[in-house]
Amino acid sequence: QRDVKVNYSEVQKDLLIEQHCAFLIGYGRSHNTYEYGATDYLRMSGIYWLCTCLDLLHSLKLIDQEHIIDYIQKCYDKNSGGYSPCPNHDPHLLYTLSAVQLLVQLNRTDLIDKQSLCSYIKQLQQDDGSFIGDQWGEIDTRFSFCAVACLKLIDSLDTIDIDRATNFIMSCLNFDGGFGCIPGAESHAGQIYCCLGFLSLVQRLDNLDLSTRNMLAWWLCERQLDKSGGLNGRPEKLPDVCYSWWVLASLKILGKIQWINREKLSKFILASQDDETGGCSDRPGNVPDPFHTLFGIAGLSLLNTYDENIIRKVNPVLCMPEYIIQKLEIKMQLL
Amino acid sequence: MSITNWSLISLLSSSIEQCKSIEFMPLTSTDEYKVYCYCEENIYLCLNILEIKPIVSLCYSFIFSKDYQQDNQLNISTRVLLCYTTECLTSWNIRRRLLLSRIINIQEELQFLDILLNLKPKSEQLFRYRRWILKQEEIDKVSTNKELELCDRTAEKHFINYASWLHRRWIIQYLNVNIDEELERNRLWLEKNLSDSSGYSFRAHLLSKKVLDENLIRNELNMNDNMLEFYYDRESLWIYRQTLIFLAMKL
Amino acid sequence: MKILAIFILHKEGDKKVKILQDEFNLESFGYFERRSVQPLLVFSARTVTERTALGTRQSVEADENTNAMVHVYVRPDGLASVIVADSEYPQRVAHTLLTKVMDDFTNSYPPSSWANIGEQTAKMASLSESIKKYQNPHEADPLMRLQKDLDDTTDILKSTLVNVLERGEKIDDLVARSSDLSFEAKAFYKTARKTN
Ligand SMILES: CC(C)=CCC/C(C)=C/CC/C(C)=C/CC/C(C)=C/COP(=O)(O)OP(=O)(O)O
Repeated sequence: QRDVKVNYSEVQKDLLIEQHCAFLIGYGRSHNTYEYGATDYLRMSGIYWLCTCLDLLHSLKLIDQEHIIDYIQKCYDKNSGGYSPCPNHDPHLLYTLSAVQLLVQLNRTDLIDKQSLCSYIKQLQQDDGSFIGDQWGEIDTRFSFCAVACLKLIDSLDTIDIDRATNFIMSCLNFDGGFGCIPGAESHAGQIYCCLGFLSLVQRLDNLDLSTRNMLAWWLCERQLDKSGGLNGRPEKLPDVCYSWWVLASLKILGKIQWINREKLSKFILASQDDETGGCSDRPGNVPDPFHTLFGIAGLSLLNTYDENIIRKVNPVLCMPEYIIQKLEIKMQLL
Repeated sequence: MSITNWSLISLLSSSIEQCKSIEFMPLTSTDEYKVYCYCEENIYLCLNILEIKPIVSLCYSFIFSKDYQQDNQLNISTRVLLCYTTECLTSWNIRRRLLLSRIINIQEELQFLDILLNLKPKSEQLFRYRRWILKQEEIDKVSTNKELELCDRTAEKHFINYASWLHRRWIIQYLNVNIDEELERNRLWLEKNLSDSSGYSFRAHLLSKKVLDENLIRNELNMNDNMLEFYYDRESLWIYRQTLIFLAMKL
Repeated sequence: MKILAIFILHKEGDKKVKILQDEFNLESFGYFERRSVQPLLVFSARTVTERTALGTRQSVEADENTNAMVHVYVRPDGLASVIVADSEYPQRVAHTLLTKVMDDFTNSYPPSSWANIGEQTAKMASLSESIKKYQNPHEADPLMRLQKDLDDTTDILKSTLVNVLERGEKIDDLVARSSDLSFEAKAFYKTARKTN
C-alpha cells in the first residue's frame, strides 16, 4: 500500500482552535499576497470554506459579514442569474452553490432573487437529466449535486426534472459500486459524495439496492490507509485530509461511518495541522490552506471526536452547520 | 523595470508562441535580479517561479481593463495568465470567444495546449477546453494518434491521472477508436505502469464496450495471474482481478 | 514507472569509487530540472556505493519526498552497479538487472582492465540498450524466470539515504561538499526539499 510516514510520537495531538481561526481570518484579509491573485478563479468557494469552518468552530462572529455580503452581491450576474467566483469573472454553477450556501449561513436569503436563480439552474439541465456547469462546459455529476443543493436551500426543488436527473446519476454507477463524473468514468470519492448527496437531497437513496450499498461502503472504507490512518480518494493514491470529508460524509449517508477507524483518522487529521501558522494541509508537513482546514474540521465533526461546544455538528450532505439546516427545516434522507 | 508592463506581457506571449516547452525555473542564482522569462537554446521557455504574483496581477489588470479589451490584447494576456494558473475558467472562456470569432486559429491553439500540458498534465479545465476545441474542428481534421499520444504522455507524467483518462474515454467515443486495438495499446501501457489503477479502470471500461464472453474474461484473468506472480503486492492488480470477477458473474 | 539511470562502478579498496559507465533516461524532466537532476543521480550512486559493503545488495530510498529508489549491488570482486528508478519500479526486477548488467560488463571488460578504465569512459553498447528495454519491467520476465536465485533478492535490505550515512554525517553537508554537483544542482536540491 502506498502511504505516507507519519511520526506519531512527534506530531500535533491537540486541536489548535485559536490558531485555525487566526489563520482563516488572516486568509480573508490577505488581499495582496500571491495566493490572492492566483486563486481569484475560486474565491467564492474559498470564502465558503473559510466561513463554514469558522462557524463550525463557533467563531463566525470574528469576520466582517457585511464585507462578505457585499462581495457576493458584486459577483452576482444579472444576465444569467448565477454567481461568479470573483467580480468580472464568468458565472458558474460551482460558485453559485457557494454563494447560496454563504447567504443562507449569513441569514441573508432575502438577497437571493429566487426566480432568476431557479431559471439559471433550470436552463443548465440537459435532455438526459444531467447538468452542465455553464454554457461552455461539459456535464459532470458534481454539477447535478450543485443544482439540487442550491434548489434545496431555497426550497425550490420542483424547478427541475428530478426523475431524469436521478436517472442520469444512476447511469454513472459503476460495477464496483462507486460513481464517476459521467457514465463509464472511474469511481472517485469526491464524485461518490456528490452522487450520494444528490440522492439524499431528492430522497431517492432507495434506488441503490442492498448489495450496491454494501459494495460502495466497502469501497469507501478501503480508502483508509493502514499505516497513516488517513483516507485517499482512489486506490493506490496517497492520503489527503480532504477525503476525510468526501469519504466520511458518503459513509454517513450510507449509515456506515463506523466502518472507519475513528481514532486513527482523527490522529491523521490532527497531525496535518500546522502548529506555526494554524490551518490544516493535505497531509502532515505540507502547506496549509482553507480548503483542507474546513474538510479536516468537518471530518472531525462527523467523527464526533470533540464535543459540540468545541466543533459544531456538521450536516453530512450540505457541508454546513447542522443548526442552520435544522432551523430551515431542510429534510434529506440518511440511511 | 525598464520595459513597460504591457511590453513585458507581449514579450512573454510571443516567447510562448515560439517555444517548444514551457517550464518554471528553479530558484537559483537569479535571486538578486528579476528574471521573468528566459529562453534556452531558443526552444525552452523558462518562467521564473518567484515572479508569479506580479505577472498574474498584471494579466488580470489587462484582461479586466477597459483600455485593453481589443481581441489581440485579450489573446496575449490570457495566454500568459494561463501558463501560471491553468484552472482559471474565465480566461479559457475568453479564448473560447476569440476562437469562435476566428481571432485564434484552432490548430495553433491545440499546439499551445500541447505545450502547456507538459507543465500541467492534470489540469481539468485544460482538458475540458481541449475537448471543446476539438468539437469546433471538422472531425476528419482531428488526429486520433495525436490525442492518444497526448493521453499516454500526461498519464505517464502524472500517475493515476483522472483528467487524462477521462479525456481518453472521450476520444475513444468521439473518434470511434477500434476497441481491440485500444485494448492492445492499453496492455502495453500497463506493462510499464502496472500500479496505475486508473489504467486498469480504463481497461475495464473498454471491456464493457465489448460483447463479453467467457474466453475474453479468461484471457484477462490469465494476464492478471502472470502479473500477480511477480507483483503480488500491487493493489491495482487485485482490484482489477475483483473487477474481472464482477464481470464474470454478470455473464 | 521508470528507470532514471544505470551505473557501473568499481570499488577499489574500502572507499574509493569510480564510475565506469553511466546511462540516463531523463526525458520526463523539464529542461532545467534535467540539468540539476543528472548530477544529483551521479552523486547518490557514488555515495550509496561507497557505503555499501562488498558482496551486498541494498535498495535505498533517496529522499522521503522524491520517490526515487537507488538499487545497488556491490559484488565481492569490487564491481558494482546502481539502478536509480522511481518507487513504482519493481525491486526484484531492478536487482535481477543489476546482476545481468555486471555479467555483461565483465564479458566486455575483464576484471584486469577495470583499474585502467578512466572515470565514465567505458562504452559497453548493451547498457544503453538495457536502459531503454527494461523501462518495461515485463521485458525482464523471461530473465527472472530463468534466474534461480530469485529468492535471494526478496529480502534485500531496504534503507534510506540517511541510514546509509555514517554517524555524524549529514546529507546536506555531503551535498555541499560534493564536487559532482554544480552550484545549480545544489540549489535545486535545496529548493526541491523546500517546496515538497
Ligand atoms: C458543498 C460541497 C462540500 C461541495 C460542492 C460539490 C463539489 C464541487 C464537490 C467536489 C467533489 C470532488 C472532490 C470531486 C473530485 C473531482 C476529481 C475527479 C478529482 C480528481 O483529481 P485528482 O487531482 O486526480 O484527485 P486525487 O489525486 O486526489 O484523486
